[in-house]
Amino acid sequence: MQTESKGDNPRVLVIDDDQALLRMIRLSMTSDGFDVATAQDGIAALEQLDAAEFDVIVLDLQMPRMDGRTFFHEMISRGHRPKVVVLSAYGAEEAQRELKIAAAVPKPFDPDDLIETVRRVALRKRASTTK
Amino acid sequence: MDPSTGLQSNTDPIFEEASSVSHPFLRVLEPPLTPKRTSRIDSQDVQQYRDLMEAIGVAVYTTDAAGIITYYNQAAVELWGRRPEIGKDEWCGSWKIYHPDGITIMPHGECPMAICLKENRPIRGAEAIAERPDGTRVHFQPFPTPLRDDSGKLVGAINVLVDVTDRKQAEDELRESESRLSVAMTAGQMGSWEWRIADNTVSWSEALEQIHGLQRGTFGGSFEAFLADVHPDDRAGVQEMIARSVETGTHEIEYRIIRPDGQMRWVLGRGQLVRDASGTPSRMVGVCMDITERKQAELAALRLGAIVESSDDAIVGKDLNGIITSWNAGAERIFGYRADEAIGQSIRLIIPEERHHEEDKVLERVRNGDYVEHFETVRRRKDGTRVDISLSVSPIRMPSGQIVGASKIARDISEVKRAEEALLKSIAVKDEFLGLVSHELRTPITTILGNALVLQRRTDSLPEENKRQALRDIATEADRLQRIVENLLLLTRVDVAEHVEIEPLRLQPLIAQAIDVFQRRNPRRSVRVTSEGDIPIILGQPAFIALVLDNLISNADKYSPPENPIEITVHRNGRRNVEVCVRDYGIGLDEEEAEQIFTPFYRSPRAEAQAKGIGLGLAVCRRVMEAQGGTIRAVARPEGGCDFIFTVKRYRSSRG
Repeated sequence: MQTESKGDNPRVLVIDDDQALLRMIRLSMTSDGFDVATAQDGIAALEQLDAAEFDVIVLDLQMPRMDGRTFFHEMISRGHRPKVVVLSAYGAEEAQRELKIAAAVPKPFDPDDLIETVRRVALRKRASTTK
Repeated sequence: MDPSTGLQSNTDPIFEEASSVSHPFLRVLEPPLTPKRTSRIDSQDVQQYRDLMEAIGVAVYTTDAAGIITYYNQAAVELWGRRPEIGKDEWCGSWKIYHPDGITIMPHGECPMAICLKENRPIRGAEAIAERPDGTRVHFQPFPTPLRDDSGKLVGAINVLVDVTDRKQAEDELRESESRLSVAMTAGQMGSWEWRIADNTVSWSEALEQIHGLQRGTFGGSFEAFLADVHPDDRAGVQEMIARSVETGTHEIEYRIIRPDGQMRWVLGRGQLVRDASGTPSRMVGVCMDITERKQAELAALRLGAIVESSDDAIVGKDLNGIITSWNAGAERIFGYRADEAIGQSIRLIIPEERHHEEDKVLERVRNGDYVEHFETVRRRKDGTRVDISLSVSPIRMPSGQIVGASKIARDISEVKRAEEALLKSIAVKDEFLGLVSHELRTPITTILGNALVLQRRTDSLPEENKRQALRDIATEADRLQRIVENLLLLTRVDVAEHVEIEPLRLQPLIAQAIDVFQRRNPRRSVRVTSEGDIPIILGQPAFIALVLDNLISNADKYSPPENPIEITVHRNGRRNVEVCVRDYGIGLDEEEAEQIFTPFYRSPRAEAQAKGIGLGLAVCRRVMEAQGGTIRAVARPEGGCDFIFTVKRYRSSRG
């Protein structure tokens, strides 16, 4: 939807159906110098992924139109290999194990903890392929 | 033969020293071997009387006054088992004599004949036992009688010995059989009775009084007294059967009696008519047996049979070769074979080919006395289809413990399997619900918390516009949270509180207030209200009406394009009701969905795609409308969009 670039910080795509939540995450991340894009559902997110490269994806699992899991599999099948941090109000850790995802942050969370997690994940060895 | 009758002349002068009177008896007594009397005795007469004595067939012998045996007949020889020596053996020709107890020896000198001679009187009523040289014994009654001459002088005695061995034996046997009968009757809880028809008196044995629960000797002694004990429902039948048996001769009746303590017992009565010499029925005798336990067992068996028959499960008996011996209605229903088609066939009839080996194992276990419990398998119906069953097999044992077959209970578990699936599904639904509620509650909390923390930590560096937006989001999300919580609480509370306080209300101010609340949240959406005619006062609960209005307006907002106004119309519906319609221009609904959307947590797939929600709002609306005696429904419009219509009752004052 919108991209704000700030130096060498990781490029992050946040996917959540809740606009207020997206605003809050973007506010906290950009004020911390992140380059943040947002999408309200999986379909919009795939379009963004096809258009630009991201280091980390912050993904909500429960979304209308295309849920987080479906999006994840679709993204992999399209060859995208960004690091993924899942957000979920219910069963976040379970989904992390199931999808073998880098990290899980259960809702509700302190935005600074999310930022810390994204930063930590981004510092790991870069995913081998991104389209 | 009673010898006393034959010897009625025993007091007569029957012995004469020199008698011209030819008394035959006297001559018999004349010892033929006594030389001095030989000349005076007509030997022909003697022979005649001897022949007579022999012909009597009863043991007879005579002695002289000293007790020396002077004569005996052949019957006496047979009784004694020996021939005593005439002129030498005294008192009695028996080898040994015992008292009637058969143990105590009776010396010959003390035998009844000896007493008769010593005391010069006839002896009657004595009994003794003679033992023969071969050891056999004879129970006899002696009838010793003194013989006197004309002057009354004792000259000897005659004794007749009557063999009573057979009678004694019969008496013993009778006594024994009576005691056996008594034991049997006691053991069989059997009592006896006798009814003398002429004077209508009835006597009962003690055992029968016991059966009737009466104290010994307290039975009333009449047919009516008996009838009074009989269960009222059985009385007429018993009376009729007994009356008929006076004609037919016998009866056999099962009936109930009520004991004085109120306890009910079952009795089997058998009776036999006895006629007098003229053939007139004089009395009836019989026995009664307490058959309560047997009856109870029979009833239990009947009940058990009924249970087996009415069981939904297939209950099948088979012998140790696997041949079906019984087949209940449940088996007919599950397997499709009738009892007459199945009984006599091998149980393999219902076992699919590939599972025949199961039966071998089952039979082996049964032969060993083992049980097979809840073994889930598959059987074949008559039409060839398969049925999932849970099988329990138990050995059938005779009371002796011998295993003669097996009973198998098969339960059709297709239903259970379906229920299991339904349960799993409901667990999945619950899981989904928890996920949904968590998401709906935690997402606003995350936004509120996140914004609050960002504002707190970076308030100096944030642009003014971002701060304002963050604060707005906090307020909106808190409001959203509040509404979700309110709905959840209402949904559960209204469930419990069936009756809700309702009061007369004006509808317009409530609608105006609901719009006001809504527009503070959504200032850009326009809402139009149209009312047709006067809006009467309604009956309802103001908070509930407000809640329903708020839910419907919010829904219309969620699903309508931003440019469409939300339209609310109010109109009377008949004389008693008022309808409020909230119209949206959204995605619309099909007929099925129009009903389903009022189910808690139901979310239409299309609605899901369009807006988030937890599926509670409409369910809560329906609950609170019904609690107020109203209704709510959704009507899809052909041109698109939906009308949500709720109906409330019009208030009618008691004055009309």
